[in-house]
Amino acid sequence: MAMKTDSSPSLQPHPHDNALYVHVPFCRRKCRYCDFFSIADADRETMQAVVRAEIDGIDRFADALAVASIDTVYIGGGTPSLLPGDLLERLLARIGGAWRPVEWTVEANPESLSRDFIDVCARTGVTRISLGVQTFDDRLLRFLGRAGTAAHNRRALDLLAARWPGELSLDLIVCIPTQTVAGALRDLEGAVARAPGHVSLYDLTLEEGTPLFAAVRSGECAQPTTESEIEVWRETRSFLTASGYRPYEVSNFARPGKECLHNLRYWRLDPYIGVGPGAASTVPGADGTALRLETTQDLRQYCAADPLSALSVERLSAGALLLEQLMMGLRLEDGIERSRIARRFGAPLEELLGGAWDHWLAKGWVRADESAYACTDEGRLCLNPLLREAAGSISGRSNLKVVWP
Amino acid sequence: MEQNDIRNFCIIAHIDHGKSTLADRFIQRAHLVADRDFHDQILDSMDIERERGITIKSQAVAIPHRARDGREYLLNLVDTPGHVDFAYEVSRAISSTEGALLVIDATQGVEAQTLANMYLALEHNLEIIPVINKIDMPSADVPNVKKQIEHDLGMDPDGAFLISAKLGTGIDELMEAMVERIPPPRGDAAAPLKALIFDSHYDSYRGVVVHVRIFDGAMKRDQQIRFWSNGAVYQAEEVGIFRLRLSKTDALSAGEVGYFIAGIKTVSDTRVGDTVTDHQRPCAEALKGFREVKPVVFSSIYPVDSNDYEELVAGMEKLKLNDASLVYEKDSSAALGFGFRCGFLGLLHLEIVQERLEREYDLSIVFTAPSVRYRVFMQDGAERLIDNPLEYPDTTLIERAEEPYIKAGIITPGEYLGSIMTLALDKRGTQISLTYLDEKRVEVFYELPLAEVLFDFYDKLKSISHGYASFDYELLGYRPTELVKLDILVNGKPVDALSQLVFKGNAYARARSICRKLSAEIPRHQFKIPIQGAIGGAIIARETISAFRKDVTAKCYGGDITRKRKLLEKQKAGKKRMKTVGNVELPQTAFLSVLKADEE
Repeated sequence: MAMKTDSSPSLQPHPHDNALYVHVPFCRRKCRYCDFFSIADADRETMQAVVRAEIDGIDRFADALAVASIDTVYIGGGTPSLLPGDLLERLLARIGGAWRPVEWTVEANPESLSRDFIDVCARTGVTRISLGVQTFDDRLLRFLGRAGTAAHNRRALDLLAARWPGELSLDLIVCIPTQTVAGALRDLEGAVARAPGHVSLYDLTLEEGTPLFAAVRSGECAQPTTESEIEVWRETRSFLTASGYRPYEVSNFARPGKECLHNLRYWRLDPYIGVGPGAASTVPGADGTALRLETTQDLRQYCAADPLSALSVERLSAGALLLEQLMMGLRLEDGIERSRIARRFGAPLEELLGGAWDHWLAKGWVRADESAYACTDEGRLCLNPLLREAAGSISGRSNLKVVWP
Repeated sequence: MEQNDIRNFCIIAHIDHGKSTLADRFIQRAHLVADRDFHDQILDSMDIERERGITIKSQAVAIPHRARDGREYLLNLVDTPGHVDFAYEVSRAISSTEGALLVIDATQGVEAQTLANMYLALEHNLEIIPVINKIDMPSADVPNVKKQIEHDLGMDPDGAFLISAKLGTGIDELMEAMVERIPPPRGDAAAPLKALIFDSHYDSYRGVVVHVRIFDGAMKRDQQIRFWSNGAVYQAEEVGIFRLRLSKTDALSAGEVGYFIAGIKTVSDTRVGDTVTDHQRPCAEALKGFREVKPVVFSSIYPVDSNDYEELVAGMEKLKLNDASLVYEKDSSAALGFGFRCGFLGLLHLEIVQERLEREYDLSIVFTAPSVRYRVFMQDGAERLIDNPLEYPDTTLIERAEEPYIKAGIITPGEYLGSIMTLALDKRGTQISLTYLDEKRVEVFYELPLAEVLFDFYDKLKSISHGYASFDYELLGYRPTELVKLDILVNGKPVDALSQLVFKGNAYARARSICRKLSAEIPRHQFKIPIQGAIGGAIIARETISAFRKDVTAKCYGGDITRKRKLLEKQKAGKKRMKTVGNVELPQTAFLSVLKADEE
């Protein structure tokens, strides 16, 4: 059960094999589809207080877990590129001063991407910039409620080409109402022309509570049909594959060796520290169980309290961890390593899931070899029903055990 | 026991009017069970009965009561089933008593079943005591219910008792009145034994326990007894009365309600309504009203997983031990493998068998569409009884066919008569008579094909009359009909278990309805699945299930894990109950949906 704690949770020392996520909860304006936690138009004072609390949070986690090394860092948002240069540098310098992550990503939006931003990143040890391009079609950008335009996209990409020595990832959105398959492919061509090592391609998801959800609900705009969604899925995947990008996850494509190591850790359910309002961590507790910590979204509380106590804590049961392992791991083209399942859950998946795995296998939704369990392309397209079935099988088991991480 | 000290009674009530709660209070008053062992609906021993709030098996209990006159009385409650499928059992239970408590919910008033039950009680000359229950409820309207008792039931409302079975209010007064008003039994204790079987149940240690009401004479331990209907002779090993548990006595004498055990193997060897007499000194004639209960609805049962057949066999055998009205034989289907063809008293009976097989024997099963038994006359002069579409002969060999008809009696407030007449006409009914019972109520009789009544006639009748129309029926015999075999094709392949025999004039509507229901029940696959209805080779209805939609969440990162996992846990899929036919998975619910597929 999740609960608010008055005192901070006791954690088990975990010096190596760590990842750090820092959430920068500020945006110029709220996009119509976005349900991430962020606030629009914050003043410098607020930003300063949050950055200060985040640095404090990093320190507290580092102490509690006795962190000696961090493999990957991801600064996401929100819009990290919106932070004033000095605040950004303070945050990044705290991280770069203590650790040398092999991959270190910072997210940016085209309209707020500046020379200064690029230089701060280069200077502090950031290895990768992820740019939220979304689409090159101004009409669709307006529809999505994005702050930037297609011109902003091009300018930002030119700037990066000229000054940024590191890795580049581009975010794009497809299945936007009124967007055609040809339009989606044109966006991809535009993106691939910039030769990023990595592309994230998301279907526009209507999240309840967003203005876009309300617009579709009220009939103001139509949702793409199932058939066109599947067509876009197939066409974009085959285009990116032909362009040398491997679809290594449901929505993520990379040239060989350019996969996002940080995100891979989520999909493999390896430990990660999350810092910032609304951020989540999965870390080992002192009693050997896995803890899911979720930070408050209340900015005032976040800035005032001890960063390790403004949290809800959930002790993850073996069943919850197994379901999460499947939920995350089956998103990957390469699936879940057998050794990982055996090490953590003490039995092969075929056994852990009762008859469900064999049933999926017979239907051609999953495949397994000596080294891994994975979805087929067909199965990955309809992963949710499989996971619901897995949730049913897992909830019927009482004797599951787990050793994590 | 002296007959003067015995009162035999039943409680009749519309569903939910509080019959079981009232029985609970009587049992508690008599301290038959320690308070800590007491639970609600104590007489309803099956989970299904408690959940559905209906009584399926008759039960009896002897309640000792010290009355104000200082004498000890024994009040024998014979609890009756509460559904038209079991109408015959109800009539036998009622005829074992001299009085009836007619329970009416103070918040609901007189309802259809109240009326039907009252007529049944009147037919058996029972002393009826109206009881107005739930008077503690804020919405209770006692004056109005009293008006209805006077007007609708034609009874004196001043004789009605006001109680709250839940709180125990008025129970003592009611028990006192039962002693005063219900006549004691008046059997001839010296005459030869004459007893009525009103139920029986199977006890795994002691075999069949037969529930009887002794009318004349006595039944003693070790007495040789004979069943009137088949002449079978047994020795009574034990006799006794019901005190929640079986309570041994030396004898049961005229007027008493009790049980006997006589080494009988299965309940099918006993017949409800049969007369039991002494083998050496039999009575002159049997009790009136015996009839052989015959199944009217037929359907096949198959295990969802063909490997569970042996378990189904075991489950059916055990169920049969305790359910005399269930008949079955082996059956097999190309789509579903081995199973059983079963006969039931009605659709509720079918549903109960299904639920018991699933719960008590943990089996996952599918039923095929229920059918009546048709009489088919062949070109070569032969006559065949067909209740299974799989056995329907080649149409070119058939000369003509007949189907069973019933005579249905409906009592309804006049304002619903028009809609009921339309319904009966839709169901191929012919009106025989129409009588106004008083200014408000009409009694109308129809001849109807039984097949039409099976599906949703009763539900529709209740719905259009807001529950006020009562309905009862008896079988009339066979009438000519035009029959076709409707086949259902899933992804181009006929699924034999979905075939049904239907009246030709209903075939199109039925086919459309089945296709539509199946298309809602069969999950999407990776390919489009056509669902077709066909007669012979001609397709008469079609629906298509489109292929899978894309269903995977676009983004899932560290901050999304908890929320997404909790959503999955909430939506988690239950145990799969799918039957693979060809390359299509048919869920159990698809077969069930066909059971009731008859709208428009």
